[in-house]
Amino acid sequence: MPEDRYYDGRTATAHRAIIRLAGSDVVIGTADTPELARWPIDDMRVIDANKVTGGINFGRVSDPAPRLVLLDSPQRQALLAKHPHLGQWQRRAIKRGWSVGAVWTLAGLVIATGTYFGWRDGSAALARIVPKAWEQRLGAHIYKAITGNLTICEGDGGKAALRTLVDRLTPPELQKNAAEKQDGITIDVIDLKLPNALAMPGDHVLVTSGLIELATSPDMLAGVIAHEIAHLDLRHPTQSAISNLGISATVSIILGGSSAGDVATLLTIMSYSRKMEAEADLRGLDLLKSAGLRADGMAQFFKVMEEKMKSDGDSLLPDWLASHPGLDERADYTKADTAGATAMTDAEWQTVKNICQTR
Amino acid sequence: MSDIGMHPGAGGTSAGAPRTQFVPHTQFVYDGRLGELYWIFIKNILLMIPTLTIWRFWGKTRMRRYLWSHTSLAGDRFEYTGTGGELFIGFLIVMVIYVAASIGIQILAIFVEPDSPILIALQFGLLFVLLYLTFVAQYAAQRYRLTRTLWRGISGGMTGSAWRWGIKGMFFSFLSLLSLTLAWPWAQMRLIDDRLNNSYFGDAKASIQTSSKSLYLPYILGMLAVVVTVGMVGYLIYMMWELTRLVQQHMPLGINQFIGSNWFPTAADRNPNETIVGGVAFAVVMLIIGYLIVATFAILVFAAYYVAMAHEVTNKLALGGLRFATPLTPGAFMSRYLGNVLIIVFTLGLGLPIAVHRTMLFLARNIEIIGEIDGSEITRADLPRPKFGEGLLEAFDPGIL
Repeated sequence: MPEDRYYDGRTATAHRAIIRLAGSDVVIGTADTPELARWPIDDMRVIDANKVTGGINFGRVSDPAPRLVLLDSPQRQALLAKHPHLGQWQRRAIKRGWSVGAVWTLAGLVIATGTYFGWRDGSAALARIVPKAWEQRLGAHIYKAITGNLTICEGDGGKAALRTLVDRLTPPELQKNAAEKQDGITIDVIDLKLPNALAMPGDHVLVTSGLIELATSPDMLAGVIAHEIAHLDLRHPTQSAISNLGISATVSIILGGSSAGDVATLLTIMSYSRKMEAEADLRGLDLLKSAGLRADGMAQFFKVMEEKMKSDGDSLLPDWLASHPGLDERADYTKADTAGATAMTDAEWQTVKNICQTR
Repeated sequence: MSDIGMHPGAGGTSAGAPRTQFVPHTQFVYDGRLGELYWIFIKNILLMIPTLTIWRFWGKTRMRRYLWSHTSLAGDRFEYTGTGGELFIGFLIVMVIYVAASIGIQILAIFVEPDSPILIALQFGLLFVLLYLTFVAQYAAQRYRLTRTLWRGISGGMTGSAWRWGIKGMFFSFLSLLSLTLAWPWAQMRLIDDRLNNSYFGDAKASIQTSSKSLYLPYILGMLAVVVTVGMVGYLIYMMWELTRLVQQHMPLGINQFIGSNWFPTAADRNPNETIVGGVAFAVVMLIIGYLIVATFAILVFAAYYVAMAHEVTNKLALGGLRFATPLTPGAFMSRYLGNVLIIVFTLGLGLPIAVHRTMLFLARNIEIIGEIDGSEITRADLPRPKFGEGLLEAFDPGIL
């Protein structure tokens, strides 16, 4: 049978407690010793209750060790009734639980939105102050890693034609950078069927032969290259390197590295990437226009891509989960008129089309 | 007399019973209820979502508080005095340092060649530090839990340095690697001895001097079983691979194409996204199955080893005038661990409270305390109390409790 207990906090002795109320104190004694201790009731707190025995565990505010365990008795009822700070312990415990929960829920919301917008806009600001030299070193590693196992197409005429196109599209502020290093924005065509293009830190652009094959006019290719140069102009590669690092660090600090954290990181990065793609589309249009080139190739190319996707089988992932905005949406907002010059002569365009044939 | 001396068995007799030659055996009593544990668990899960899982520290504390307060010894209940805030801050300190270090290395990677020896040394160093910290974490967590456990108004404590014990742990791991893990039973017992010999309840120090002699037979048998099984599985895979190659070589081209294009569409025929989603799902299922097979195998093969270890530790441990024993058998060990693995995997983690409940009953059943539990000789010791909770353990070795 459970009994009332008093532990004095000095030795591990279990005293069979007998209590009585004396004014503002609880006097704790045993059958042999009428008074072992005297606890001021104001200094008492309820630690918890046991549903199995019905006992309430009392402690002191001023000393963490001693304990008084009281089963239900008239004395305990009198104590709890007279002193609301003890009697209402359960209500206070529940309130405390709710407030910790509410505070952290609120903190969770603040942290989530702060992290999302902080890294999205913060990384853009940070990217602008990252020295170009850092970017070039990082870019050199990435360039080596990506092109290491791929063939770079070396058709001379095609390379010259692309060089001219890139130079026309490069905005003045990037040209100033280009003057400092020898080669400015570099462009390479890699022999790969998958249609794709890529802008890397350190001002490198990669286009696959599959993409050139898919483009039916030089203006379409110019649209793609303008989009990639726009990424470089807006310093997106560096921005996404910073935000990826920042997001994964923040998420792992909060979640401690779990698969839920990986999913959260991926979704955030995808969303950032969609925003940057849309920015690069619009900036790319501006670059085409200020170079005096036709800007309608970009939207046309999105349509060509969309048709190819449809004939290959529809995408399973909804747009909000993808790294790029939907192709029909992009074709829509990049719509432009036919004003401006064609990006290349027919002869130049032929050499670009054949860039991977001549070695 | 109104002080309670000892209680033979769980129920307890009248205090001040005449002392006889009879040495009482006492066991822990766990009287928690599964339903109540589940209610705490469900509330914790619900709060994890809006708090971005930060609630887990408070959740864990609530769980522990329930488990401790429903465990009693000689009629007196335990109390867990730790707080969620302590666990959270401990975790935060460790994670901030760790993340800063790994970001530092990533930034450094920009400036040196990818195969630069400095970078490789640093990355290797971080891994080494991580392994070291898992050792430090075990010691520090034991200290935290001991100092946050109160029984009869007296708390536990621990002396010694977690950092030093971590170095020892690393050194012993290295040694046992050199010995093809043959030194592992010996090393493991030395490490356990160190931790226990530094553990206190009040001013009563635990003392132990184990020997690894009784562990070697079950360990070597277990290792032999592992080697034989791995060899057999490897041989089977090799045979199947050879067979496939032979069949492919001798199969008419027509059938091969037929199978290739119609029955088993190749990756190129399918939508790339579908392939990715399917691939991830496949990988997850294979991972779970792989984990189940390895866990089951390890539990079956090493049950006798762990039981021998439990017997060795309980037989040699002394705390004040108390001695210990365990009736643990390999069968009971297997049923507890296998059962828990299966419960957690097949309920996708939602069966955790069942596993915890089973573990508490298992511990209560399998620890026997021999001798009179006379608390009056044990006094408060005021050993150093760490300010923050098991940060290292939270970060690098997440256990279920």
